[in-house]
Amino acid sequence: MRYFDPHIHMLSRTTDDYENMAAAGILGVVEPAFWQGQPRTQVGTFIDYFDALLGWEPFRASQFGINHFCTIGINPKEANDVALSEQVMALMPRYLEKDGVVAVGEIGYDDITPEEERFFAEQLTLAKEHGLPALIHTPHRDKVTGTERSLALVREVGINEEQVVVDHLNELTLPLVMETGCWRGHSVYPNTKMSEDRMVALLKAYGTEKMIVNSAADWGRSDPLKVPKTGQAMLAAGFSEDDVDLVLFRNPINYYAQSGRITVDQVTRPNIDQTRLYEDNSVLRGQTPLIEP
Amino acid sequence: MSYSEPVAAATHQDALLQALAGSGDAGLVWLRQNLEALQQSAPEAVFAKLAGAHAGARRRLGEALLGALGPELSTACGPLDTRAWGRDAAGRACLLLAALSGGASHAELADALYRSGDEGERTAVVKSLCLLPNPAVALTTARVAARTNSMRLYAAVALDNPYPGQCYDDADFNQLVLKCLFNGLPLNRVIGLQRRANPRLAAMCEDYHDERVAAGRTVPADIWLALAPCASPRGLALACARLASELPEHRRFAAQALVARRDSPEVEAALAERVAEESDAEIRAILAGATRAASADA
Repeated sequence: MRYFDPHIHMLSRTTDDYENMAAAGILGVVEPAFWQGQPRTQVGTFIDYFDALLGWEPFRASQFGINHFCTIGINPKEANDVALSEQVMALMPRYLEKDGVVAVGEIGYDDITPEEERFFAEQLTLAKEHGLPALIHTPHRDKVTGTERSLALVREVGINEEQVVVDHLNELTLPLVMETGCWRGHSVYPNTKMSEDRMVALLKAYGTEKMIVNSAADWGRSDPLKVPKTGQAMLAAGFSEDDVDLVLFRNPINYYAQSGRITVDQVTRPNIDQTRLYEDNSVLRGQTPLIEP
Repeated sequence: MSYSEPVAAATHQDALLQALAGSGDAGLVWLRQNLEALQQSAPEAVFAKLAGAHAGARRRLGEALLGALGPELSTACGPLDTRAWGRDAAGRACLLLAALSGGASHAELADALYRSGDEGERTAVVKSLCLLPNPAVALTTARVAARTNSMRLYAAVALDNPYPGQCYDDADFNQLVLKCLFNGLPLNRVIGLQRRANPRLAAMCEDYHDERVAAGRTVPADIWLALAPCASPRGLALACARLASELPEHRRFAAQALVARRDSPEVEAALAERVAEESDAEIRAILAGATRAASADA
């Protein structure tokens, strides 16, 4: 089976993860910009972070046969730092024009504050202006309210619902999104958010249309193989291989393909050339480089 | 460094635009709108406009090569052949040139554009530095770019680009040549190598040759292009010995480099001796001096 993880924070992961992901059939990933576990204090840190998502990380991924794309945005937590967020907003138009950027994200609510709402709305507007999809994070706390208000803001801003994915859904919030044209994102986690078996149950109840599954793996306890593991759970539950390919490969890519910067046909396994260098750095530490013809 | 008469940025821009228009319609309307907007931008607003358009240019214009339509531009660094430029690089150069007209500092604009770019954009910026009215103002940017080991970007600085040969000092130029040797980038595409070769470069190449031999590794065949022009007597002897190499590439590059050193009686004798024995007709012609050494110094 071929897989695509449409939401994973690879900058926080090891090369072992890349090797295991490639071995499990993952051909591509999207890395949404998010927070770093602690708040950033200056706009320069955002510049370097965005540049890493567009430079070093795609190179690192390519060394393991994985295609890497990213989304650019101010995450909900840090949107509460208004002075800093205003500076980041000023950077975004040029980043949103870059070839490797397939959406604005992740954006949305965390504590559901007026500051979060301001930058959430402004970034939805930016997505609309740049013809990019928008990746919406739904909050951990007060999730139903956060999801309802996110959907209301989507309507208020007037971005096409087809261009929106609402992420980290569960049994209570998925039905709210089913009533809209938005795509449905689910993060399968070791303990929180969603499990493989619950995911399979949701697919049985609601079908496969616009359904998307990701690992959302980051610097916390998480599992970068949750997409292929969900594929195994789907097959065990009687879904066809084509169903698995649709939900875990074609759906997420077709959603991001609305950016005009990625296609299903483009996401194949790139040939690995570990002798390539990036900015004076190699991912090799003394081992024999792997070069594929 | 001495420069030829500065050529107006608008002249280069017109020539590239004409080549773009001749090679397809993709993105042309978009490009013309952006060029106009840039020309009308206030100095403080020009960078944001430039950076956005520059980033999105590849998707609008495509990457097809200009090919035969690519003009030879007369730059302050010397002639620039744009036939191997893609439509994206040509369009991005037009955008940069248009932004210069707004009164912003050329050096700051080029540097900010380089620093904000992804790999493809940075590649386009370093290719177009020689199109600036006074290219030397962008030396800092070019030197930063030359510190990369992204080979795609490095090749854009070092190969088919008249900028380093015109603007680099000897220390930087020598490092650039050595880095090409280290990474297998072909020296016959380093523009100005023959003219810029110097005794220090020859000594660096000789040391590199000795290190490779001591380590039991192969020596890059085109090292003779950088080593021979100002070689020590020992360096010349090393090059002469390679005239009889079993590897045709070594024989070809050694011959190419040594015909320019016929001033040395030892070289003259070695070339004459080798003509009779050389089996490869092309190399034999080089040895006989019938064909001009195909260095990048046209």
